[in-house]
Amino acid sequence: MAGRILKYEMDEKLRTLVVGFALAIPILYLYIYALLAQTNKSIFLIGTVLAILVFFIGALSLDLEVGSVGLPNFGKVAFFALGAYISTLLYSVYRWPFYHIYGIGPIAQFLFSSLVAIIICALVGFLVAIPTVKLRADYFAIMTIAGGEVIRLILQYEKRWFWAPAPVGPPQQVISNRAIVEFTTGLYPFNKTLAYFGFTFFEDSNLGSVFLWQIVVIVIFILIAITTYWFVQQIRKSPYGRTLRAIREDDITVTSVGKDVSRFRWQVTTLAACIAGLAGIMYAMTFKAFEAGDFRPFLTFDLYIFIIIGGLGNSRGAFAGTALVQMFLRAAQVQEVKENISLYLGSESPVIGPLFEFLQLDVFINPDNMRLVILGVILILFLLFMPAGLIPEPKTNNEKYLKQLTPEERMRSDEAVSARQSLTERERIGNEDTTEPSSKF
Amino acid sequence: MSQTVLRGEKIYSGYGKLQVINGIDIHIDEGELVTIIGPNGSGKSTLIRTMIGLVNLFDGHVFIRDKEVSRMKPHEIIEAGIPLGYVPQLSNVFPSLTIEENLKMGLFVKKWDDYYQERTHEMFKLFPILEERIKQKASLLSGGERQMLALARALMPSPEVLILDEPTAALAPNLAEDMLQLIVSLKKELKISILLVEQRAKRSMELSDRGYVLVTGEIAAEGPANELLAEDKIKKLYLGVRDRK
Amino acid sequence: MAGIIPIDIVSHTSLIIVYASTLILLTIGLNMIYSVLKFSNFAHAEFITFGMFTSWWLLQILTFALPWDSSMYLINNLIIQALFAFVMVGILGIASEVLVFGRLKRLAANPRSFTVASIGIGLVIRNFLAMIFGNFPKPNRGGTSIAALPFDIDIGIKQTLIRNDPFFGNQGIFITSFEVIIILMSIGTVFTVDYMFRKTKLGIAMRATSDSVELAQVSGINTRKVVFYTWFLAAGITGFGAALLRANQPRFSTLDGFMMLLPIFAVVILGGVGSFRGGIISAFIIAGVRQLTVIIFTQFQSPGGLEYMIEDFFYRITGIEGLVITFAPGYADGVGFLVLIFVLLFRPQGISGTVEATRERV
Repeated sequence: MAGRILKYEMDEKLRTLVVGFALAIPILYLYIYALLAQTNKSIFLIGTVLAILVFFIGALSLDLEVGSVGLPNFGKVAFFALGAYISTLLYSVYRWPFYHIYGIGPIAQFLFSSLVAIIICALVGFLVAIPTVKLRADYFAIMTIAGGEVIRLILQYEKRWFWAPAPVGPPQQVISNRAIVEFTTGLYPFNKTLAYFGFTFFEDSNLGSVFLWQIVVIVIFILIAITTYWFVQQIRKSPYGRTLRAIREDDITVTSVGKDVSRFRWQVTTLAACIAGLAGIMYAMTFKAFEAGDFRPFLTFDLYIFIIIGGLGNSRGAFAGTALVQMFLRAAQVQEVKENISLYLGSESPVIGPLFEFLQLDVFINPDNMRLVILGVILILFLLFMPAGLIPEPKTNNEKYLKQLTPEERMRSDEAVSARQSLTERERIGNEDTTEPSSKF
Repeated sequence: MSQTVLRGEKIYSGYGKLQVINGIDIHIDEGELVTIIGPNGSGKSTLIRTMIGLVNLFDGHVFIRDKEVSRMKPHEIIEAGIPLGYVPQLSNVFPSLTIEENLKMGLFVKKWDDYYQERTHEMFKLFPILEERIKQKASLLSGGERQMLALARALMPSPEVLILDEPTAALAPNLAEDMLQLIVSLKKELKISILLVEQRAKRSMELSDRGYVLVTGEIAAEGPANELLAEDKIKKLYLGVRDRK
Repeated sequence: MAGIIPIDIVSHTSLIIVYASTLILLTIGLNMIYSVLKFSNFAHAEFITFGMFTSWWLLQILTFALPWDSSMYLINNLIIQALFAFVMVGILGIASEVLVFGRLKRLAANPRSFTVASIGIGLVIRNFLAMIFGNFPKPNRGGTSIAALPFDIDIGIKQTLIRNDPFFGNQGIFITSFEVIIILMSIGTVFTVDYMFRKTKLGIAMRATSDSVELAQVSGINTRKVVFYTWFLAAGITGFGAALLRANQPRFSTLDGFMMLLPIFAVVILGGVGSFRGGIISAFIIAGVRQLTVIIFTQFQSPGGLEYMIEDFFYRITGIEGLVITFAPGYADGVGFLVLIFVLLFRPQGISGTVEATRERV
């Protein structure tokens, strides 16, 4: 018995550690390899950090819906797109109404356009939520994919409003965000490298030069990320968050104690839409140029990969997942890494040539697709073997109550809970073999 | 001494890692009505589901007649030629199938057409209500009719033992009494043994021959029904009989 | 001068029929999985892609392995390619059940995990195909004919039925021989599957399994086997349809299946889960709405159309040009979803389905 308890104690932490390292070490290796191959290493590093921060906020927004309240929103990309489009169009294209005011004009315009973008995201989120939150999980998923696609189609075809007017010729589909460029280039302290201020760390370590504005943008993004994280964390810890978790587990019970489940659902959907809109604004500032084709449902799937690898229902997990996967994706995009990965299997290969000739296959293993295959496999493996993710959701808001239990009591209660859950799920789905061979005790 | 129809020896079973049944010996003899009672969560349903192979058997043996069926899946038991008559508590009929198809499901592994006519004829004699609504979907039936259809379906393959999991759970009190009477009459008419799990402990115990009292996965008491009914402790704890003094 | 009816109604109708038939053929499998296993398989879109590529691959292998002049009949045979795709995609379906969905079911995972897992499977299949066969649209080279048919259909060109009629204007039909096969096959398959579902032993076993696994097992059904049969048939029919669809396209790519994802889900949800005949109606509704949107929006955008009228109206009032929204025919892909949203609002179980789209209420 004691051995079993010890095993239980060790099990979860050990598994998390082993899997975490098994993922992190190759990714870090790959990333460092890619980094060393760069000529300007600091730009690569800064690009990664910015992308991680942007997608972390997106992942937080998704996790608030999927992890906390159990709504599988697959239309998150629509709010990314709306945030990016509206803030960029208002600031960089239409420049109305504050931009031309002397002095504070650009900043006021920037804040105004961001605010408008977030408000519109909230409105759209609310409008999408009203008809859909009552739907079953899979219907909700398909409806949100559809809603996201409708918004993308509007952005793609509405060339009078959502395309950038060109000085000559027809409007352009590609929109470029000028916020960072305008605030920094030419303004005195920002357009200088750090070496100018006597801080020569980057040059000394041969990482290339870093401009002050890059540091400022990173600091601002980090501040935004920390604020959002704190905000989401407060929601999770509050009684409101507890209700959300209860809805996720069993909405019927929550209805029966007198809570309006639909109201909670649309509130969270609207809030998450705001956060996603914020991520969209940051997306536009980071990637500078984009078009409607960038906002296909695949972006949402990426966010799902982040939060499922990291762990559903907790913000630290969202960060861990985003950081790991973004580093992997960034590193796998680098030319030197690609050259090492890509492989030719075909009729001219040494040993297997005849077989491939017979099969009529000329396979160029393409790194762009291979990284997605790897990610997909990792996602499925996580769903099957570590559904809680790298950093599991805390069992309680207040760890001290858990610590009062003996390990044996904790183990028994865990087993009972999991058995109970599997039973209720069985009854709910009513659709599986109840007699699968399982370990004899 | 009559022969044993269904027998479980030292059954340990449960869900996943959680052990629910802790070493139970149970047997049902020919022509007997046996009732299992016990508080909620004591493992009554789990026990009978283990015996027909729906729940993992950790350890122990289950016999139907003299054939060992431990760790066989239900369809394997039926394919081995042993008909099962089991009526679960919740989803006891196939709602999207018609009554006719529901009855046919009782004879799924046998050749349908050979037995179907004579068996349905017999079932219609027992439950005349079903004949009128043969083409309707089972989801349109009322609770009591549903229960009858479930009984008819379970009786279609003429099983030797009928296993009923709380047949009166979803029924109104007067219908529940009718249902218990129906079960007793089934036992007499068809001469089959019946294993009954019931929440209406006192009433079902009065009607049955023998009984088991289950507490936390173990047998707290067993014996002829009248003896159990007479025992003070059981009366107080499980039968809901209060002292009048 | 065209007649009173300026639109080529016959041609548009034929396009609607072809698109609806394609949708019917591709949704049968999805509907089967949905109704028997009770989850929405988002990887279905990639089953379509897989079917397209495997049928094309067989053509390549046969072209290489067999002498063209003597075995052209065999190599170029659409039905053989489609049957090959049937088997391959069927195996893929079983593999996804064995490797992923079956395990998830045993873990008693919640419906969300199934959705995410099926999207993950889709991601893997799509990119795996792109890795092996290349990322760019493939031309349908080598050609495929319907040599297996006893009769010869040769209507691969536009047939103008009425020309310069004073009332009808120009009316023509544009339909290829492959499209005729798709139409015939979709009608045949949908009624066969419907019959199988309602009358045969396997169909009753499938419905029983979908109602209650436990009760089905106690009735002597090997539910595992039934689940495998369901996967094989559902995925196989999809592969079969995908092979026919591929033959009809000038080029095809790994994204083709994903592009079909939303329309096929719209058809299944609109028609009602578990109802194949509802699926026929809904496929025609979706195809009709789509084609109508194309017609109407094209009219709106033409000179003197609604778009110009609105712009002119606002220009006269405000003096600003461009105060109008664009009626791009490209919106046709999205209009079907709007129909779907409205249907789900007022009739959550679809046209003739039994499964409610809303969550259970107390």
